[in-house]
Amino acid sequence: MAGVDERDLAERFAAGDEDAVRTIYARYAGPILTVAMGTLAKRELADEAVQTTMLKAWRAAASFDPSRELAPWLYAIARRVAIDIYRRERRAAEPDELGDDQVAVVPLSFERTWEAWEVRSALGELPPDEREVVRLAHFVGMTHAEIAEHLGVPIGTVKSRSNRAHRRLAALLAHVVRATE
Amino acid sequence: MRHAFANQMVFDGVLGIDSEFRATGAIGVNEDEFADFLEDGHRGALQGDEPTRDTATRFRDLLADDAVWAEPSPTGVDDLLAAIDAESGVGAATGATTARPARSRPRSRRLMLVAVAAGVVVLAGVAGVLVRSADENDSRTFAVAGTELAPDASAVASVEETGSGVSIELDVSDLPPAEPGTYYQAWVKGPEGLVTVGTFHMRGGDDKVDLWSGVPLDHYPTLTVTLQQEGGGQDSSGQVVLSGDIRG
Repeated sequence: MAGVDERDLAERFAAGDEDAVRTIYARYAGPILTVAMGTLAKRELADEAVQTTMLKAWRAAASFDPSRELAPWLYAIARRVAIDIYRRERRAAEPDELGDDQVAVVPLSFERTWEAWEVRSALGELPPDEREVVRLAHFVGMTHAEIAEHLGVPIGTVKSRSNRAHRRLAALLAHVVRATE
Repeated sequence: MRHAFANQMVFDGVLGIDSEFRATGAIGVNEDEFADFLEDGHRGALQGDEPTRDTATRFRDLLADDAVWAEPSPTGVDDLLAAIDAESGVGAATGATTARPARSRPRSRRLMLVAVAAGVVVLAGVAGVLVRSADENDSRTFAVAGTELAPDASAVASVEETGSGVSIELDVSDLPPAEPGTYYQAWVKGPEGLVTVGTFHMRGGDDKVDLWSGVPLDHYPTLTVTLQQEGGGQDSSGQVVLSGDIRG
């Protein structure tokens, strides 16, 4: 069930209120981009998907059911938009002309892209210092010692940040775990 | 994506397991620890089923993928606001009939661009170069400003009623040529909807573009230009590169 804040946000978004548009964008553009990149190979296509998703959402916001949550609604639009772009690119491309950076992928399943959306959203909830430790560890592949050196902080600080971040992530992703088990 | 998108399933990209990466143990938190964290969070929140190790693996693989770390374009929100600006007060480009109120607080930068462009037009009009009196030959001229998608672009639109329709001559400056597979499309908008008035590509550099409208611009006072993809359908892409209003 959507909270009062989210209902109000959706209503103001539908009215084109600039603050609401900026809030929606800041909150959801990242997860939308994640879904788009999971479906499309090119960053510019993913950016197009973000823009199109947001615009479609704005156009449809007046009909948004306030008893529902914004995230699943936006996710559904994003996934549909990304698949539409995927199909368009697939139609346009000659198979033997496809390079590694071009669209030649099978779109992720609903469940997988939803997990990607949720992980991205959960990362957005982390404090910046904890988020950076998670990024350096998982994405860059640094050890705690390397992160400590990179950030110029004691290794104990890195470990405690990492511990807090992962516990926080685990809590934020608990509902996804339940849905997928 | 961190992993190349070739002809493999996307799972190899977004959720793909990089066994060599994982085998190095370079990561600061191992899989068991992360699974434990997940389990703790799961139990704390749900008091129920226990997650499997597979869940931790999937999440960890996602955390190693650049799809979840990619940042949206820094100008994206301004582009979105420009697109909403362009459609405000009209039904959706897809043909919806519900009228929308104008955005409550237009962006100051865009207004500034329009104001600057309008100022140029006014000065030119004073010099008798661009602006012709409506009394002379029933033509009007107004400024069209580039959006965040084409901040250096601008245009001056000259509008003239003719016996066959409304002639709109767009004198375009610094609008990048549309890349192959894309094109520009001009629209006029008003409370009654959105009507396309022509397409062009600008691949020959700055030039004048002749557009034609079969609807009166008094009812469709906003002129916009969007970047479209060939094969992308007939709707506006929402990627507005130029926008102006005949009412000034």
